Amino acid sequence: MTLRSALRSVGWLLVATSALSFAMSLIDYFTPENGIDGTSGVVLVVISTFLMLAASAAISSDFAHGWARTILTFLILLDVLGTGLAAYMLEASVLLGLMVTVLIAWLFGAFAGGQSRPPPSAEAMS
Amino acid sequence: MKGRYALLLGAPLLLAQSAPDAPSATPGTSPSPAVSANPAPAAISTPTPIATNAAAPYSYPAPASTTGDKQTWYTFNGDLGAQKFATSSQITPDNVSQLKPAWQMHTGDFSQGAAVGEGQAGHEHGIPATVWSATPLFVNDTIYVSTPFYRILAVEPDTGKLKWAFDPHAKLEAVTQPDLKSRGAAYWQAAEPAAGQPCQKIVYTGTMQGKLWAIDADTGRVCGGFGKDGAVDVNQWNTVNNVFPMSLLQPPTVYKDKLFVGWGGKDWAFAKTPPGVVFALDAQTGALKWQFDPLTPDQQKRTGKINVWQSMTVDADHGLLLIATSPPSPDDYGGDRKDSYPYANAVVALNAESGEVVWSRQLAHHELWDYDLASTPTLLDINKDGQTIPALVQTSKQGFIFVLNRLTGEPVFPLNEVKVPQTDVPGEATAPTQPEPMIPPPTVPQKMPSVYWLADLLSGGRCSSELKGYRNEGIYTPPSLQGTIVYPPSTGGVEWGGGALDPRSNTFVVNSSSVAFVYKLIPRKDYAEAEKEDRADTYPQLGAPYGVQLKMFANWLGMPCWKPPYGTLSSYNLNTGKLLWRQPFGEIQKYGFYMPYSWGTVTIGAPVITSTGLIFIGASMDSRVRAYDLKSGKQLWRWLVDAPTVSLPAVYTYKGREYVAFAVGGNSILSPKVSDQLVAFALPQ
Repeated sequence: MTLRSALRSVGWLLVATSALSFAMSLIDYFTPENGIDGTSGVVLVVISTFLMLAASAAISSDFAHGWARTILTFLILLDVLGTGLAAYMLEASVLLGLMVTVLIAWLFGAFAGGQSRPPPSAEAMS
Repeated sequence: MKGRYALLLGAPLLLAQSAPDAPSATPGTSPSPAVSANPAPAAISTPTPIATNAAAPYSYPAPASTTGDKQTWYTFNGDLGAQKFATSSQITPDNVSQLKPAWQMHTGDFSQGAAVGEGQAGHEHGIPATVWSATPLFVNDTIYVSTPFYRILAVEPDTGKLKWAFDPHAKLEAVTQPDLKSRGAAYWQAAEPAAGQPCQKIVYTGTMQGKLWAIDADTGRVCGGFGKDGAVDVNQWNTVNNVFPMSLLQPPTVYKDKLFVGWGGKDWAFAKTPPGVVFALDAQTGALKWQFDPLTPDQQKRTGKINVWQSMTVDADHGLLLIATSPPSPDDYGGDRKDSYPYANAVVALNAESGEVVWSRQLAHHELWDYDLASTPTLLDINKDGQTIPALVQTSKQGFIFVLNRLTGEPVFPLNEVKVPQTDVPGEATAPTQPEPMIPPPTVPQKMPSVYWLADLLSGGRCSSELKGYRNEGIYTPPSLQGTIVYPPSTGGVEWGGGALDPRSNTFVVNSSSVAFVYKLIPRKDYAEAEKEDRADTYPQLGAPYGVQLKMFANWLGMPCWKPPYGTLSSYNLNTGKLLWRQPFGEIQKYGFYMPYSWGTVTIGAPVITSTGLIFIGASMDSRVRAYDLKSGKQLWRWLVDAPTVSLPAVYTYKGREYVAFAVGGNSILSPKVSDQLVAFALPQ
């Protein structure tokens, strides 16, 4: 599997899990009496998961190239870690589980590429 | 905003429309202002019965505690001795994790009131916010609970269906408090109820305007023979320094044929206030039997109150009414009350029949911090040195746990008079010493914990630099013109809920808050300006030479400047006075995020203990109710509810099934989340 194809397949996995995370954060926001509904903390994860979804889609659809792709990949990692921390503090366990899944997908993509090819940024720029 | 108020106003209006006044058909009763019978009014949501059980015999409770599977909860504290102990045995540490809501209902009586109390911004826009701290009563095969709108609801104990509702149509104005408040209802029944006669069983509730209503417990109809048309207005006796009405927010204490009634007011607003009289009324007629006045006529010319605004305790074996009192007014300046007030900040034992003082013991001298003894004494028999001592335990806002002989007032453990910091405020004079028990150890340290590095960091070092400008010499450092760190303040230590006792082992469990405030006296000439700048934290003490500013010692984010935990749950062995365990309690939730468990949370409410070794408690600010293992303090169960539960749970058994019921109302002063949820938990069938 080439890095590009690995990233592409992982990218779609990222899109899927990001979409699920976005949906979950919306559910958390609107579900009454769950302890966090309507709070600004959940608004934050709604925004962060939406950005995660957009960035994942940009990568997997080849919308972003070169350095933009590299930056987005890095930002997705930050987004996942930040959203995971927020989900932990919100005690939103499903969302936290999804963040773990997204992180695994991201790591899989990074390491799968790293074993056989140059780093993603180098490949993207070549 | 108007729409939201209209929505909030709509609930009680709907209720009133669907609950037509019931005619008085029974001799001895007058037309009811608002009595409703089944079916449930529209504003009360349909309850959710989870399961029912086969019929089981029910018996009226014994005067003190009840036993086994006939557990009732017939007073604010479960029993007259305020032990908060349930003998029920169905829910155990092994199965408590299976506990689920058996039913829940919503009363419709709550308000988030962006506006708050009288005189405060926006008050004219609608109903003030609500604080619901009622203990649901279970007695007479019925759950009785009163609401912050002063209605009484009678509810089926196994389904949550409404039996009847009574509405006194009280004005929903916060005339003496920042919010509308209720701590529940009280129950009385005749020693030998006459069949077919009304008002042989009566439920009482008070209003902020000072009316005490008596309602037939079976029908929901007004007991017309009680007071005037079913209500006693205690403000008929409010004739001295009546700058505000006496508010009946705490249900009366019922013993034999009497009701013991205390009241709350605006003690922070005036120097001269009504004297803190306790009234004893006839349970059936409302006639005044006796009253206890803690002030002399001369003192009434200069000060007021020493009232009892919380629950009271009865030692039925010895015919004693035990009350815990507040300071004279005003709260934070005592220059005009330097003489002796032996009944202030004291546990006072009164003869329940006559009202005569049997003994009293003052637990803070010349008090300047609003350290009213907010909880009522809990009765116990202590086994010490081979002897059984009839005792009581009195918790305090200072975090002290006083253990006294309940027949004499003498301390059971050493009670030392300790030298305390002295005032530098012109006109004031502080007591040279204060009584401090070190056995059992206090629930909070006696000096503010050091500044928390995180709060200091986030404030750019402001926590540390501000601290240097204040007096900070430990407990009893008096209020000052420069500002004094008061730790614990009047909102700290143990609040009105007190603790719970397992009388078999004398294990005492209590929740406590670790809070620091800055108390700053403001000379009268500067007060108007200070109030203009910071209305929320200033209190006028009109008639005194100083107003006062009370402000939490926090950084710009509102984060406490001192080290956590901010709330704890502690367990003591009262035979030895030893601390068994202590741990952080509750979780702070900010913007939806839960802060670390080790921080704990400010706590209002109280625990109950069951015979199987469980502690049930709401009392945290994170909208959760919990169960703990009594031996280890380990949390065994928790459940998310609609708002913080600032009330005492009730444990009861009906038709062979054990329930734990909570009134979930929130406290809008501490958290904007308020509710009207009444929920009962039980094991699945």
